[in-house]
Amino acid sequence: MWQRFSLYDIRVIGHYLGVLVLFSTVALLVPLVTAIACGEWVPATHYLLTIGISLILGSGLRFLRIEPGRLGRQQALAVTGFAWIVLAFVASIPLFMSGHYASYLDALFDGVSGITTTGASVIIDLDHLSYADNMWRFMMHLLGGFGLIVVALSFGLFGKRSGASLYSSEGRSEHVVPNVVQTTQFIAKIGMGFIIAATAVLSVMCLTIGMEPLRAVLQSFWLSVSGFMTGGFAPMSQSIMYYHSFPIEVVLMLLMLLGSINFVLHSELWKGHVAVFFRDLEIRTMVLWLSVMTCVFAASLSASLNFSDLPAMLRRGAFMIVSAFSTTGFQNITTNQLTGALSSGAFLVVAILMAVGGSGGSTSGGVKFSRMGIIAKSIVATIKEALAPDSARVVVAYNHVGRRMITPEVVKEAMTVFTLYALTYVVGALVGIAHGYDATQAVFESISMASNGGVSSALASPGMPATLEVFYIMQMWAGRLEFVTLLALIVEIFVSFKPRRRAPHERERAAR
Amino acid sequence: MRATLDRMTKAHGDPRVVFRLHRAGWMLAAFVVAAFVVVALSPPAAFADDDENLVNPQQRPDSSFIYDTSIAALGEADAYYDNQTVQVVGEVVGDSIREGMDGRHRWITLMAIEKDSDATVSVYMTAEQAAKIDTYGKYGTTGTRLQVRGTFHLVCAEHEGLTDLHADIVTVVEKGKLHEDAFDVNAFIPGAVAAALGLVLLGVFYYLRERQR
Repeated sequence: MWQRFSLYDIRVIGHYLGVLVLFSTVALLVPLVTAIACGEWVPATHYLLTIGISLILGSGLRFLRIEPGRLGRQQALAVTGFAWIVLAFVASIPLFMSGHYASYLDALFDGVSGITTTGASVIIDLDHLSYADNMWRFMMHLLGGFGLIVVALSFGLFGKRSGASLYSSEGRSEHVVPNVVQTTQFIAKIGMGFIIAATAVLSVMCLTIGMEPLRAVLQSFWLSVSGFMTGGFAPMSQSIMYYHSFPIEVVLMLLMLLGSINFVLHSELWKGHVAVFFRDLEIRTMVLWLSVMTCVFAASLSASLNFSDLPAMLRRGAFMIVSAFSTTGFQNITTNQLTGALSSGAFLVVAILMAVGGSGGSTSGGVKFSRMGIIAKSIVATIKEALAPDSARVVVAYNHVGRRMITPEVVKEAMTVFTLYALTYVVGALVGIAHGYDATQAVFESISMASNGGVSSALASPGMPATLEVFYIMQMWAGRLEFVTLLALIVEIFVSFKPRRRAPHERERAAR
Repeated sequence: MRATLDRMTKAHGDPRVVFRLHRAGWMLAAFVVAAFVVVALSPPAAFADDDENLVNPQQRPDSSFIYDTSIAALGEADAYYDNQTVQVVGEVVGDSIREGMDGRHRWITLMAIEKDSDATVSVYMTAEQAAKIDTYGKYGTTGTRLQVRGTFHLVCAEHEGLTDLHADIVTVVEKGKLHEDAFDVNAFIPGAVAAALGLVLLGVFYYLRERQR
């Protein structure tokens, strides 16, 4: 029997959503301070108004239940599912007021893209966007990359007891340390450490190429956030091409790689367990997968007219491969080159890399290496079982922070999520095709949205059909939550609205 | 007219030769007059520096000079535009990015000036050409409007496959403008009221929660 939401559940969910909205108000202070510091008075008024709206909405939601009590598993699921979309609605208010969006739906698209770290954008005239608005775009990446719930948990917003169910509902299950709050704090510390270090290095590089000091420091911070969070927003419309700097591209590639590795494995390296790191299923899958795909990509480019010389292939190809597999979405080739000058094989490789994505428990999207590795191991187990004698018991193990067995539950989870991703990619492509777009571009864009990849083939652009835009928003949302949380939420809402069937004795009583 | 022909017949002998010479003279005169009219009526050179109008060795013999292309068109360019000489007008945005360590060349981002496009193109130019730019476009600033004539590369071999425009001639069309935000206290009132209301609601919530405990 399906579980329904009771009025009590709705009040508790509302209360905790209010907590998250109020928490996001703190993040809105960052662009407000930026606006005031840079003398951008018009954006400052936008952020003050959004802070007010956020405070009213957050406080209002908390009134739904003054003493909410402990958050149950079902309620945690709903809080996580709704949090991403409610916060995107709030986040898109200042974006829309900036005047750089053709409609509120466009601003919402960028809000969802920012929070889900997709990185696709439909902004107009990005190069004239204020520092404050840019700061907000990257704050969305920062919040969304760590995970809204992870960030909230690291500040202890949900208390000590509600943490575990919330933590797992956001697509995370592994703990660096036994305590959820401490785990989230570790993730936040390691992430901020990388971002601060990268900001310092990139600032020096940006100053060297002749950028103004303020722009150099701000853009370095934004690029570091976007790179490590595998987001994909860039402060300039030309993305990473704008900097014309190979060293900057190398630093960003490194940052994207670090962001796409499981935080648990970061902690193992931190503890000095290098062997554990290199024996891990995810790392081995990543090395194998990237080696194969890089060869295919290089072979495809070699056979084409463009990018077939070694310097071009190394610089443009290597960067695009890292950007695609980590689901960041940075580009050092133009969208026109992506769709026109790149060979169709290389174009497809970029899409497949985004579809698979990075490691589980990282900031990357897509199916994830852990699931691909488990599915491959399960295929090995099936072949072994077919060849083994009837009396034999086939055991297939893998390394992931210790030795683990391939069990039907693990395989079922991996297969379910893999199938859901594949289905979403296909349905998204069909929606694109139905809107009259080129089939290969529709497939590419659908994968880019659902995997939170963000490399765009220009379907997602200002003035795109509203129905397609709404579908892409749904894809980004579903992909970030890895479907299960979202599907469970949708089913529960549907069931809650469906009239309850009366029991036979109730029907008899009603007839009398 | 008849007297002139008779005089020429006496001088040259054959009347047919005389008639041809006479017709050629009239045609030459008509051509000179037509050429004078065309030169007199043609508009003066708009922006291009004619003294720098050198022969471009990359110009294909079978293709025409592509003048006044839009940046949006270059943003969607196919192989036809590759290695062609083009001329675009756009606003300079962002920064002047140094190319290499010698600092002799710069990368400039040129943005379309058409209202329905925000396409950009990377322009590779000398430091001297970049020095003509007085303002770089950003929030609150409209950058210098430049006209650039140069060679467009869809996949530039010199710059590891970048789409770029190598500038030959750079001309300033319009200087940049500053339009900073004016501080207006009244504009902050709706936000301040909303924030105050939100804080009051939050205070009431904590008061009610403490009372329940």
